[in-house]
Order: sequence, then structure tokens, then C-alpha cells
Amino acid sequence: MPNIQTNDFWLRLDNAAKIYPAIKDKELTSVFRVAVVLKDRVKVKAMLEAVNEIENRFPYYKVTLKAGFFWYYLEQQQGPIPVEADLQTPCRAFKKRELMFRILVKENKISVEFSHILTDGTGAFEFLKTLLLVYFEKCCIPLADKPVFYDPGEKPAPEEYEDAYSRYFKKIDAPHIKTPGAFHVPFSLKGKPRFSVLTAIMPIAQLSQKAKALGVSLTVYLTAVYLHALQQIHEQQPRLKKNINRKILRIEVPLNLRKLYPTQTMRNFSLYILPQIDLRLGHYTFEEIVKTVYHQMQLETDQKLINKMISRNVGGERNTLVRNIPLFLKSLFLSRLYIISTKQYSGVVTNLGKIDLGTAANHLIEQFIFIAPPPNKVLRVNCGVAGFGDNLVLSFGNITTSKELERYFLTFLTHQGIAVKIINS
Amino acid sequence: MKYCNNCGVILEDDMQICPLCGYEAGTNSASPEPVVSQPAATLTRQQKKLVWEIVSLVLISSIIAALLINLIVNKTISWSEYPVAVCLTIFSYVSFFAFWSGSSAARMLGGFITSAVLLLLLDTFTGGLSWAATIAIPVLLVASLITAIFLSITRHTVSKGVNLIAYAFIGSAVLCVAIEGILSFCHTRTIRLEWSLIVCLCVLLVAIALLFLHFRLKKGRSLEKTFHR
Repeated sequence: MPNIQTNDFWLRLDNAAKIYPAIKDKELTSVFRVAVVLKDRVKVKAMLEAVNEIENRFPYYKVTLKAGFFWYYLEQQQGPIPVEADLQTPCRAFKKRELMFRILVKENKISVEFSHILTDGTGAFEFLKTLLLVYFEKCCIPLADKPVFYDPGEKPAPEEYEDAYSRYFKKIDAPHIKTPGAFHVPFSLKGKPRFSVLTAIMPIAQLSQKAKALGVSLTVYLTAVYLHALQQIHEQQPRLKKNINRKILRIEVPLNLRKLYPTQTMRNFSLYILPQIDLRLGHYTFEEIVKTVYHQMQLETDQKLINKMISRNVGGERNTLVRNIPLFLKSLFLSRLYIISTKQYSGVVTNLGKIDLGTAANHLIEQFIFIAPPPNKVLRVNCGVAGFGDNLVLSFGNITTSKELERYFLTFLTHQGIAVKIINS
Repeated sequence: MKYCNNCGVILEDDMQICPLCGYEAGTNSASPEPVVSQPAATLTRQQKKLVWEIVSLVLISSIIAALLINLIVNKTISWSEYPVAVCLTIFSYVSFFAFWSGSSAARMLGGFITSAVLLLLLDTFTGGLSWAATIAIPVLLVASLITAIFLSITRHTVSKGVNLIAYAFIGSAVLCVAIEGILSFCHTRTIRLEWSLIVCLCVLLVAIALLFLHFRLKKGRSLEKTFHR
């Protein structure tokens, strides 16, 4: 465990974070964004005061990345949390020696951007929630029913620092079954800077009604729509390409493990499930996709299977050989591993869930936007989802010249009678 | 209510500049310098000129004083060559750093070339070429290189502390070795090192102690975090 009291504060990277230093670069930044759009413009004085107040509440984020001999580690960094005007592309990379998160403000939008090395969507969202509630306090807006949040005056609990993967690691000796590679969208890459985001907003009620009619959750429904859009793209390829390209369409759906394993950790603690359809078996109707995705997700969220995944990941990290090879060799190996693992899926649907900050605070907020980290050259497109109030916001991250996937995805929804609106993100 | 025209946040009435993006409030004009930026610690052109004038005055009077004393006492120019040489070298470097707007490396190079020429001239006018080309210029070259390396390390070091003193010590030790090497080569055509090695050993011990103090004690750097597995 890290020595939290002394000035010699440092942290090991958590199990999921270990891969990111090896792969991150200027384009593939591993940085994601959680943003909140308020009904009123941001008051800059109150904002700066709020940031100042929560300054020391999240010490595990006020760190920089350092290279050790065997592993990277996080070292405490003094100095204020940067608050900047939000005028550049989202999810920009962090420079060396810089903190690996930032707060961005523009008009009525407050965004936080975190490197995945520090935390996952849940951690970043909890940080934003705390910042937002303290900001409202500083604006002298009394809130009757506040949700549970991190009191800036409190000391962080030691459990907030923990690597929960390690805590719930159990050695399991079941062999890993290799997943065959999946189809990837064939669009050509954009010139640098590649990353662009398309944000669409739609009424939750209409979507929920559609999902409910099929007896599934929103995540299952959206994953099915994604697979359906991918199927259309696959089928519209020229015959030769269709035969050459892989025929399995697979979506990575991140899973917040805090719901399965009790922990207060504020660092990464999520894994993923990979629902798929295999086009070698023929064309799937939308209803068939929904059905198979639903059942696969039910099966794959089984705790025993998740235990096996944790065991494989943490077991790899604890392997004597892996531990004892120097960092630069390890990084080569890890970046290779990352490419292999992204080849397994064709898309990502990451859902932050339905956000509720209590009636009083909800009245001050227009919507939340969740932008997943820029996809890599294999994956090329991904999708972040956040629900708030009456609306659901989808953000498609894209590094290609084509918006075909987004078009198929959103047209499908409009054909279902859902009012989709594209907004400026 | 007052808005920032650039990033659109609400400003306090007394805020003239947006603390987020550095734009002036209430106008469309940008003040290109964000308010958070630190004022540069460099001297202005006027200040540089003043410093150069003072330094030049001191150097020129030293040169004249040394030459006069040498002439009056010994009726010839002998030992005063050395203080004059030192003054000329300092003068050329200071001039380049005061008036040349190029990079530090270009300034160092300019200072080196000018002082080399001045040293050669001085040596020629005071009884024929004897020491400038064989001793003074090589020593000056090594000293310039060591200084350049030291400055570049200083610039790129994140945590500045006693580690810089240690680097300076190591630099001087290397310079001592170079000086002895050049002298012995000039006199005997072989390189034999004696006293400089003793200097090196002593300085190295001091440097190690300083580096230990800096990296291990002062910053509280534990070896575990660097070598954890």
C-alpha cells in the first residue's frame, strides 16, 4: 500500500492502467471526457473557488506519470489543478510532467478530462459531481436533496486509493479461450489531428419504450443498434472485400465492476463484455440481434467469468517473468497486447448510465455528455452514452473521413420514430 | 452581467481579463498573453546594454592598470599578458550575450571565436606566438564546451537543487583534467595526468554526496518506487 501520510507519496498503476503508458501518443491519447451542460453560464469566480476547495480531496489524481525500472508509477505533483477555457479539440493528450486530468470551461459547459491511467468513467464522473455540487454551493444556490458526494473537507478513505482488481484477485487455473478477430469499419483515416466527435441527443422515454417493448435495457438496445449498423456496412462492401474481411461483429461494452464487487476505489475498476453476431451464419434481423445480445450479456456478466478475467489480467501482472523484465521491453510487449486485444472487437458502446443529482441540482442542468477516449487505428469509431433527465446523449468518437456508421446508427433510430437531434459538442 | 467574449463564462464586475483564457473583458480584442503566465526573468535590451557598459568599463580599466603596472615595474609586457587575456575573453563573451539575439549555442560560439582571435592577436603583439594556439585556445574550447553542457543540463533538469552544484563540480573536475592534459601535451608531447586525478577523486566524492542528498534525502525519493516490481 502507498504511504499516504509522508511527502514520499507514490502509487503503483492499477491493473487496467498498466497498458496505457505503453500505447498512448498524441493521437491515441487514452483521455476521455465527462461534461455537464448547465442551464446558465458558468460563473468563473465561483468555479475557481470550487476547484480550489476540492483541490486536496482527490490526492490520487494530483499525480504525474514516472517511469521506474520495471513499471511506471504515479508520483505526487504539487501545484494547482489546471482550469482552462475549453477552446480546443476534446480529449487532447497530456504533456510529460503535466497532471493527467484537466478541468475545462466554456459558456455553460464544465468538462473534466481524465487519462485512463488515473481512473475510469465512474471515477471521473464522481469527481465532476463533487466539483459541480461545490460550484453550486459557491454560487450560493441552496440544494435541498444532494446526492452522496465527496465532502471536500473530509480526508480521502484509504480504500479510494486501492487497486480493486488486486483486492479481488483469486487464482483461477482455467485456460483462456482465444477470441477470433472481428470486423472493422473499412473507412480511411483522417489527416492529423484525426479525432472528431459527433454528438446526438434524443428523448430517453422514446428509446426506453422501444427497448422495453423488446424486454431489454437501453445498453442492450444501443449495442444492438450498433451491431445492426455494422452489419449494414459489412453488407455494403464490394463482394471481394466482403469475402476477405472478417465476418464476426463484436462490440466491447465496458462494465462497472463496483456494482459486483464492493469497493470505494476511485481508480480504474471496470472490465468489459463482448457481445457478438457472426455473419457467416447469415443476415440478422434487428430483433434477432437484440435477442442474442441480451442473452450474451446476461451470460457474460456472470461473476465467475469476471473472476476469471480478473485472474488472467492480474495473474499476468504478477507473473515472475513479466515482473522482472525492464520497462522498455514490457512496454513493447504491452503495446502489442493492446493491438491484439482491440482486434477482437469492432466497436465500443460505453454507457455512463442514467445520471441523477437530486431534484434541486437536476433543475440547474441541461445534460451530460460522455466522450470515450479516441479510438485507435484498428477500431476507428466508438460511442459514449450518458443519460440525464429526459434525454440521452450519444457521442461518436471518430478518426476516419466517413460518418457512415453514425448515419446508419442514427437513421435507424429515426426510422424507429425516435426524435434524434445533432448538437454541437 | 459581464461575459468573456471568447470562452463565454460570466466574469465578476471587477475582472478586466478572463482568468480562464486571458481575453480582455467586454471587448473582442484578445490580449495574447494569458494572465497566468509568469513574467520573463530575462533582462530588457536597455538593461543588457547598461550591464555591458559597466562590465566593459571595469575590464578596460583592469587591462590598462595591469599593462601600466607591468610596464612601470618591469619595463616590458610580461605577466600582464595573462590578466589582459582573461579580460579580453570575458569581454567577448559578455558582448555576444548582450547584443546577439541568436540561441545560446550561437552566442557561445561567437564569444569563443572572437576571444580566440583576440588571444591570437594579443599573443602576436607581445613577443610572437607562444601560448595562444597551443594552450589558451584549447583550454578555452574545453571550458566553453563544458559550460554549454552544464547550461543545457541545468535547463532540462526538473528539480533544481544541490544536484546542480554537483554537476558544476563534475564539470570543473573534467576541466582540470583537460587543462593538465593540454599542458603536459604542450610541454612533453605526451599526456600525463597527476594532480588533476586527485582533484577528480575529491570532487567526485563531494558530487556523489550532493547527489545523494538531493535525490534520496531532500526529495524523500525512495528507491522502492523506481525499482518496484
